[in-house]
This record gives sequence, C-alpha cells and structure tokens, in this order.
Amino acid sequence: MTRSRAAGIVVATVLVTTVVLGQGAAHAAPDRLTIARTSTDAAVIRVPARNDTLAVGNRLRGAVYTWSKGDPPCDPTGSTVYAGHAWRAGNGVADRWGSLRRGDVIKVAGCRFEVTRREYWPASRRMGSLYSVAGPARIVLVGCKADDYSRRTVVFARKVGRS
Amino acid sequence: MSSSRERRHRTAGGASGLGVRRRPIHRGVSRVVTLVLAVGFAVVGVAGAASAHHNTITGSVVCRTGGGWAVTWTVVNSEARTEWITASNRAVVPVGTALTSRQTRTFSETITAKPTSDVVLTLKAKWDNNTTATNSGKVPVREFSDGCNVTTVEPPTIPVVDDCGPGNAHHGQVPSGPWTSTSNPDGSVTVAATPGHQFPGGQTSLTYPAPVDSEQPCPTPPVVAPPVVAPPEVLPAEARVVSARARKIDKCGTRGDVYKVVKRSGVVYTSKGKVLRQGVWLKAGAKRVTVRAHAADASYRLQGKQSWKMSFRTRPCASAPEVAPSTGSR
Repeated sequence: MTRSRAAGIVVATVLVTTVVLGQGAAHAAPDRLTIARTSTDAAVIRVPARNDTLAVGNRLRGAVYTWSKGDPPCDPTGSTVYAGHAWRAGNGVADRWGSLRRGDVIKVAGCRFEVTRREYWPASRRMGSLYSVAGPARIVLVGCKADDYSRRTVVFARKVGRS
Repeated sequence: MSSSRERRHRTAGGASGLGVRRRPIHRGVSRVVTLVLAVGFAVVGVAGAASAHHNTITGSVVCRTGGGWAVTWTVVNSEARTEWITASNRAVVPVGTALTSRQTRTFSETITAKPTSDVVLTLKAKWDNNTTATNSGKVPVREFSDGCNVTTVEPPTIPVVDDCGPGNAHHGQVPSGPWTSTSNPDGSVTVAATPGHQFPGGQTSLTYPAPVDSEQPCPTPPVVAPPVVAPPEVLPAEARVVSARARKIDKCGTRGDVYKVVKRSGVVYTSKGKVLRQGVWLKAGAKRVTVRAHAADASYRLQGKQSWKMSFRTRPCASAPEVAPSTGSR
C-alpha cells in the first residue's frame, strides 16, 4: 500500500467517523424547545413516569421535560407533552406560556408547530390522553399557572412542518 | 545518215546508167539542210521524251457521310511503262505505290478539319527507264463546303405515356439534344437535327409515329377503409423510468401504525386491490400490509422495488402518566 493511499484511507476514516459521531452527538444532545413570543429557549429532558405522573426535574429555567416513552415530536401522528416549571416569582420557564396565542410558533426537534389553543386545566384533571401515539401530529405544553398552582396551563400546537 | 542516202543515189544512178550528175553547190546545200533537220529532230526528240514522263494529278472533294470531307485524288501515268512513287507529301499516296502503263489510280482521303489553304498532292515518280518527274495537283480551299462539317448523333428515344383508359397514349417529353421537336396533329412527333448534326444515314429529321394505345382498363378505385384510431404505441425506449417508494412507522400498539407511499407521477400504488392515496400517511389497520406499485400506463416503466410487505408489531404502549406533573414548585 502506498503512502498516499494509506493517507487517503485515514482521511476518509476520519471524515466518516466525524459524520457518524456528529449524528450521534446530535441525537445525544438534548433537543431544544424555543418560543419566540415568550423568549423560551429550553433543553428538552426526557424523564420517566413515576407514580402515574411525569417525573419532572427541578430546573426552573432553561429546561422542559418530556416522557421518555412518549411519542416522538416530529412523527406524522401522535402527541408529545412538554412540561415546564412556572414560578410565582417570575423565574420559571413556563411563566409566560399563558400569553401564547393562536398562531404563535414553537420549534422543537427540528419541527415547527403553531399554537391552536390555550387552556387552563385543574391540576386534578387526568392527562393520559395527551400522550397519544395516534391522531394528528401535535405537541402539548403543560405548566403550572404562575399565579395559581392548582391549575395547569395547557397549550396545544399542531405540526406545520420542518423548521 | 545522209551519207548512206547519197550512196544509195549513186548506186541507183550507176546501176541504171541514166543518172544526172548534179552540181557541187547543190550538194552543199543539201548537206546543210540535212544537218539542220538532223539537229532539229534531235532536239525535238530529246525535248519530247523529257516532257512525256509525268503524272497528271487532279483532286475533287465532296461532303463525307458523318461529317467532314472526302477528297479523291486521281493520278494518271502518262507513259506506257511502269512507275513508282518515290516521294509523296500526303499519306494517302504512300511511297512505293506503283502505276502501270498509263494507269489511272484514285486515292481517297478524309479530312475532318476544314483546311485553311488549298490542299496539294505532290508526287515524285520514277519510271522503269530511270526517268523521274515531280508533279502536283490541288483542291482549292473554297471547294471545302462549310456544310460538310456535320456530326452524326443517335436519334432520341421519346417515351410513350399510356395511362390506363382508351385512346390516351401520347409521346412524352422529347429528351434534350442537338435537335428540335414538333408535335404533329396526328400525334406523331418530328425531330429535326440542328445545323451541323445529322442522324445516322444522313437524315436530318425523323418522324416518330403516333403511339398505339394499349387500351388497358383502369383499375377499380380501391375502397378506402376508415383509418383505425389506435392509441399511440409507446416504444420501450420512449418510456419514462420512474421509481416507487413506500415507508412505514411502527409505533406501539396498532393505533399509531402508519405507512405512506411516495408521490410519483406515472406510478399507481395498490394494497389489497385498492389504489392508495399518495403522499399522505395511511393507517395500517393490520399487522401486515402489502403495497404494490404499478406503472400508470405504457409511457412509464418502473425501476427498482415494486412491492413492500410491511409488518407492524402489536406490543402495547406504556401506560401514560395521568396525573398532571408538579410544575408549580420544586
């Protein structure tokens, strides 16, 4: 084998490795959820369910939580839930989700979603149906109502395409 | 000579005894006259012999068949003895040609180009008595007629046009050439050679008789079948090559299982005999779904995979958390 040929193989190996690792890194790195209207820019953290509820972490800002067994967000069908903290002191990631209006854009996992409606649910309302693997492709943002922890701000957004 | 004559006179006189004696002066005159006569005869004899040995050469010219001129030379031997030609300025009378006693010989010569001056034949001859003479004859240039320079051409072949039906045969167009043609009222055609040309045999015009009609009946007009309108046949080489594609998403449970066939013009997808909508996600609705792709028509040709057997697992989904997450405090 000539030296140039060996060098070529090495370069090719490096390039292939870079590409593979890059894709893996992209998958390994958490997705981010951004909302321009509310200046939301949070990492998506996959968490399990415990005691029939989503085991969210305690990061107030810069993070939203999704079920690790939930439906992928960019699928053509299904619904994906993202939960974020709201804090009365105004320090939570979901503090301003209540201001979202119809048509506001949410980007996550490489897809664009448009807000279709916003609702406030009582904390006691069952939320299992929001994790559906069927039905129209959508995401659901869930957070405490900043001024009333007994209620949940629930924002529905339908998928409109790739971002 | 005179001496012998005088002797005879003496002998005659002496024999008869009755001779008259002449005077001497008369004898001298007689001798002078005899001498003069002798010399005269000698001179005349020599001159006559020299002028008698000659050839009389004459020439004539006529138009030659096929063009040009035919010159005929006539050579007459003046002597009653054989002669041979020892020099000749024209090849028509070669050296060595013999003419017997007073023989008249003719020699024919062909001239194709009109001469610019008189044509002369000069012969030098030698007789068997070694006498020689040179004589000439000529044909004046004016006798070479301009009309003799004629080229013989083959007469044209005139086509006969005889369409079906009676009485319509006629001559076609006369081929071009050194002639003119005239159509006669009776259907014949007269072809006349242009000046300087002639047809074989020296003819300057030919008449082609009217052609005889074959009276061949015209065929019955064929029945025109209506054109058969057939769909245009598309050759394989003209078929557009398209590829089909299908994909699936196998989620937990069965409700979220979907598949999609990629939208392609020229491709028809079917599953269980039903045509599938392209470009949208379709519910699987079963554990197994078979999708087949077909070319929409003959103008398309499928390339690559054309059948997909999709299987969907039925594992149950994990139980979704029902309780709202605790997102209001930490």
